Amino acid sequence: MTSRVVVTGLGSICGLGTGIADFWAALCKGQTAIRQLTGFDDVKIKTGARVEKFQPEQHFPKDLLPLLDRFSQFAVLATQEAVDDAGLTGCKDVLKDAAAIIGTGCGGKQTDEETYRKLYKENRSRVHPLTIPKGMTSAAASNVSKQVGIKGPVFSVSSACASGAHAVIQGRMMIQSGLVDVAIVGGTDAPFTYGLLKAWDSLRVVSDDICRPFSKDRSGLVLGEGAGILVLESDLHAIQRGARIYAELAGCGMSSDAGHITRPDVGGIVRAINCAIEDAELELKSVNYINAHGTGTIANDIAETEALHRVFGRHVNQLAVSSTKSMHGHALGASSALELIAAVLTVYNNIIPPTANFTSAGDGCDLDYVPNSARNEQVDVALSNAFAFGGLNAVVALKSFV
Amino acid sequence: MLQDTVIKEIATYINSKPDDISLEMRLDDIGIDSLGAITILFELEDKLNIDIPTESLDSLKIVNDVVEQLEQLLGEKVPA
Repeated sequence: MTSRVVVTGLGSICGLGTGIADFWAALCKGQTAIRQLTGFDDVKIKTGARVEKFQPEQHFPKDLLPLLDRFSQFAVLATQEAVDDAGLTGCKDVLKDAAAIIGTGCGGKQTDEETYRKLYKENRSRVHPLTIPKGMTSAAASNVSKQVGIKGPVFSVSSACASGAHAVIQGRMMIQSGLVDVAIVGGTDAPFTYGLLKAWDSLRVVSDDICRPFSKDRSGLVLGEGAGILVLESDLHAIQRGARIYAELAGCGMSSDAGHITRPDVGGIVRAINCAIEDAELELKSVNYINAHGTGTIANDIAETEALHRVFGRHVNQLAVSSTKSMHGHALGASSALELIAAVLTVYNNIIPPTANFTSAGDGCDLDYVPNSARNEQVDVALSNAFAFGGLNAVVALKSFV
Repeated sequence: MLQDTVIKEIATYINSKPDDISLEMRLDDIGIDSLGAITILFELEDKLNIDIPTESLDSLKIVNDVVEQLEQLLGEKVPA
């Protein structure tokens, strides 16, 4: 018999604040972290949800910083909070056998870009010797492992905007298989670099204003940054040590569109959601809440809404569906982890965070998107959707733990 | 002085004061492993605009080895 997997610790850093308390409070108030973007004069993107006034030297010793790209810094901070929240700080015997799977879409782009700038623009002939270990995609996972003392399976996964969700799913499978009792999982990204912003400019999917998922006047996604980390455990392990259990990670579904590189495919989304529902052995009518992928692009919001219609039929009108990207922005590889944390807290607290910045429903967007104000409502079952560029879909099903 | 430059760079790397570092100290003993050594050499290469060959890394055991290596490269070594 495979283990049930539960969530026992949470950690986050994003534009809404450092730490879960600030994150959840802002979500419940419908506050957005989206601000005018400064420091990038020659870039069309005008807004972003950045971690403002972040000072790494306040969080890390001076000798460690040369090894920590910003995406690693976020991951380590969120992990330390999650491990502490789970009551595992200092539990060396538990942590040494744990896994850490950290998703990232971009990796250490700040390190890479700084290096290339020096080489190509300043014509420097040599680069810093720590460029490789600092910038490698797996650097965040390695630093999480090192700082927290995790000595089991550790690696990164990458699937663009679904990276965090795929990392969560990988950790759950490891626990279910009996490979580990505890897995530190989630995602991290720090995409506010000149080169990346220029690349997003060219893709023409970023709003020049604010993120309004599912609204008629939506104009695209708004980039964010940060990290979201969860501590997963087998239910037996959590119960034996008397841990507080937020929710059961009851099911997961994955699919690939094998189609267009950026346009979402309704069929692919439907298959991922159905897989998660089947895996969690849920009845459709038991689902209360969907934390949507909800990017605020024209294509995503229509496709996601249509997919929910196809999966849920009449029950779709009983669902509350919200996009918290309207508040923390699209933090790429971290986004799906931050959104899963929001869904976990929704199930735990029975408060549904809203879709902020909502005006009026867009064409093809006809669901209850929980506009602008959080709602107190019993939520026993929730889904968290993540659909990445490249057609990589990941859906996680949560149940309240009883 | 080259010696002062080297000691200052090492002190910065190990978060110490130049006065606390002597030429006879072993790099291992003051917390400079191979990754630390190449980081310090990189900073010195940058400051002095020289290229330190990788083969010389193995011969750097004490602080003074770094100074001597740089003296050779800079052609500053004074004959005994």
